[in-house]
Amino acid sequence: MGRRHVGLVFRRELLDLRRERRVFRSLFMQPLVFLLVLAAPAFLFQRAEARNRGETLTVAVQGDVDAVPGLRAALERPPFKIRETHDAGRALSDESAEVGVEIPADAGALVDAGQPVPLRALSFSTQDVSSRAVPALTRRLAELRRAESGRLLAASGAPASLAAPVRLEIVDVATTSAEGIRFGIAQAIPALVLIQLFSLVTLASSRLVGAKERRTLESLLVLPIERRDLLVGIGAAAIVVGAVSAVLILVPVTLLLSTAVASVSRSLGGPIDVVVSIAAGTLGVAVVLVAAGLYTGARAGSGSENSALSTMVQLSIFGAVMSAPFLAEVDVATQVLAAPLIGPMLFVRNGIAEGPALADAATMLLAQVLIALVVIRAAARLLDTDRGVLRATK
Amino acid sequence: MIEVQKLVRDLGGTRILDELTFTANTGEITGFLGPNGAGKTTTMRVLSTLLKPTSGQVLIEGFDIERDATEVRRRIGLVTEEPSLLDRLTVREQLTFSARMYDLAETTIRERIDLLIELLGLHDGIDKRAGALSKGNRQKAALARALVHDPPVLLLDEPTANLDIVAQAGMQSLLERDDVVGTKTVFLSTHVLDEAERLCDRVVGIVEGRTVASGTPEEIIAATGASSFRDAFLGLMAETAMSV
Repeated sequence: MGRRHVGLVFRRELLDLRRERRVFRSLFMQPLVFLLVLAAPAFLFQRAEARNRGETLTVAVQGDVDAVPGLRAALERPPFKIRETHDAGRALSDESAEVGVEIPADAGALVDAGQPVPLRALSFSTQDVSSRAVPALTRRLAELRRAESGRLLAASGAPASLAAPVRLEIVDVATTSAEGIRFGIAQAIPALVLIQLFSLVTLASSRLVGAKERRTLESLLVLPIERRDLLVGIGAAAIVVGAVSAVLILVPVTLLLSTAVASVSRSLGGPIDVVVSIAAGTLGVAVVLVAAGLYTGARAGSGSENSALSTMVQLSIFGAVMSAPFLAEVDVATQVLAAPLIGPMLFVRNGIAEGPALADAATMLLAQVLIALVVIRAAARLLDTDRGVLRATK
Repeated sequence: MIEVQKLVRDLGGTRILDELTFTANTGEITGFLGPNGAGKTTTMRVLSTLLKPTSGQVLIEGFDIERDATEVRRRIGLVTEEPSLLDRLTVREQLTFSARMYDLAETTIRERIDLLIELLGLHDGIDKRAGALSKGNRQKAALARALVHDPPVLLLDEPTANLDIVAQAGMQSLLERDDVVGTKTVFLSTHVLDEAERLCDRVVGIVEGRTVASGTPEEIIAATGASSFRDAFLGLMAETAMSV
C-alpha cells in the first residue's frame, strides 16, 4: 500500500470535509442536540432522586412513644422526625405527616410484662411520598426490633446473633448500585455509538457518488495511485471525522450520565475505561461502516441508487446490531468473527461495564480492519469497471 | 505518442467503439472530431485508463494502457468537459495535491505552479476556492492541474464545450501557444469544426465508434473535393451515417 499517496488523499479529503458545513451539522451538531435531549431525563431523574433523599419524613405518632424502648430514638433519626398527635390517621389525611404509628395505650404494661407491643404503621397510599415512606419506616422498625432483641438476649447471657443470625441489605442492581448504573449505561451507549456513526455509511458513499456526479472522481482515477489506496485515503478521512465526533460527544455524555446517576447512590469510577471503550469501539464500528459506505458508493450509478443502497445497508446493520443482546454469552473473539458490527458494540458495552481488555481491543480492531480491507478491495475492483465513472456517455 | 489499434469497447451490451484505429503524433495537436454519441468520451476514458478496452491495443508513449496503467497515468494529463475541481479547495491546494501525487519534489512543485500561474494567467484565482471562480477560470485551473507534472501527453475532452465565447477563445489561444503545449502529444476531442481546423495539425474523425477520416485538414479537404474543412467533414459524416 502506498502510504504516502494514502496520506495525501487523506489530507485532501479531510480538508474538504472540514470545509463542508453539512458534515459539521450532521456529525457534530445534530447528535449533540439529540444526546442532550436524551440526557435531560437522566438529569431530571437525578434531581428528583436527590430531592427525595434529602427530604424529611414526618411520622405522626399516636400514643406514648417513650413507652417502647428505643422507639423515640429510631423515629427521630433522619429522614424521620416525630410529630406527636392524638389522631395519626387525621395527620396523614391533612398531609401534616407522611406516615403514622399507633402505639397502644397499654404499651408500657406490655413492655414491663415482657410481651411484644403491637404497633400499627399507617400510610396514605394515594400520596407518592407516603408510599415511599412506609417501606423506610418498616425497615427502621425492623432495625429497632433487631436491636432490642439483641440487647435483651445479651442481658440474659445469650448471644445477640440469636435475634438476627443474618443481616440483610436489599439492593436493586438495576437502578441503585454503581454496578447497576454502569451496566445500564453500558447497555445504552453502544446504541448511541451506532446512531452517531450511522451517517458514516452515507458520508462515505456520497463522497464517491458525489465525485462521480461532479466528475471529480475522474481526476483522481487518472492519478498514478492504486484504487485501493485512493479508497483507503477517502475512507480514513471519513473515519477520523466520524470517530472524533463520536468520541467528543459520547465520552462526555457517558461520564456526565454516570456522574449524575451515581451521585444518588455510590460513586462510579473508571473514566479511563469509558474513554478507551468508546474510542476503540467507535473506531471499530466506523471502520466497517465506512468500508460498507465506500462499497455502496463504488457500486451506485447515481445519487438515487446510492440512497437506496445506503438505506439497505443501514437497515441490515441496524437489524444485526439489534440482535447483539442475544450474543452476550459469546466470547469477544467469536463475536468479532461472527459479526463485524456486533463485536465492537459488545466491546463498548463490556468495556464500560467491566473495563476494557487491551487484548480484546486489539483483536477487535484488527478484525475490523481486515474486514474493511476485504470490502474496500471489492470496492476498488468496481472502480475499474464501468461503474467507476458515472455518466458513461459515448 | 498515442497509438490505437482496433480498439473495441462495449458498454451495457452495446458496441460503443468498433475497431477504432488512429495515431496521434508527438509535438502535434490531434483533433478528435465526431457528433454527439460518436464515442469520443468513451475513447477518452479508455485512453486515460478510466475504462478498460474490450479488445484491441492502446499504447501511450509506448506503454500499454492495460498492462502498464500506472506508467500511462504518469504520462498523461486529462482535462474534461467539466473542470472536475473540488469547490471547497483553492486552486493552489488542488495543484499541489496533484503534483505531490506524481511524487514531484516540493521545490519543483512550487516552480511548476509559479510557471503555470504565469502561463495561464491564474494570478487572481490561484488562492481562491475553485467554487468561487468563473467557468473560464475553472477550466484554466483544470488545464493547470493537467499540466502540473509536465506530462508528455495531454488529453482534452471537449474542454471548451461549457464555456462562453470569450472563455472559449481564451482557452483556444492557450492551446495555440508553444510554451503551453510545446512538444507534447495533444489529443483534443471536440465537435466544434472551427476549433479543430484552427488548432489541430491532424484530425481523426469518428462516427458510430469507427474511424471515418484521418489526416491534416488540408488532406481531408483534398480527399473529399470539398471547398472547406467544414463541408468536407460534414460530407463525411453524412456519407458514413447513410452507410451505417
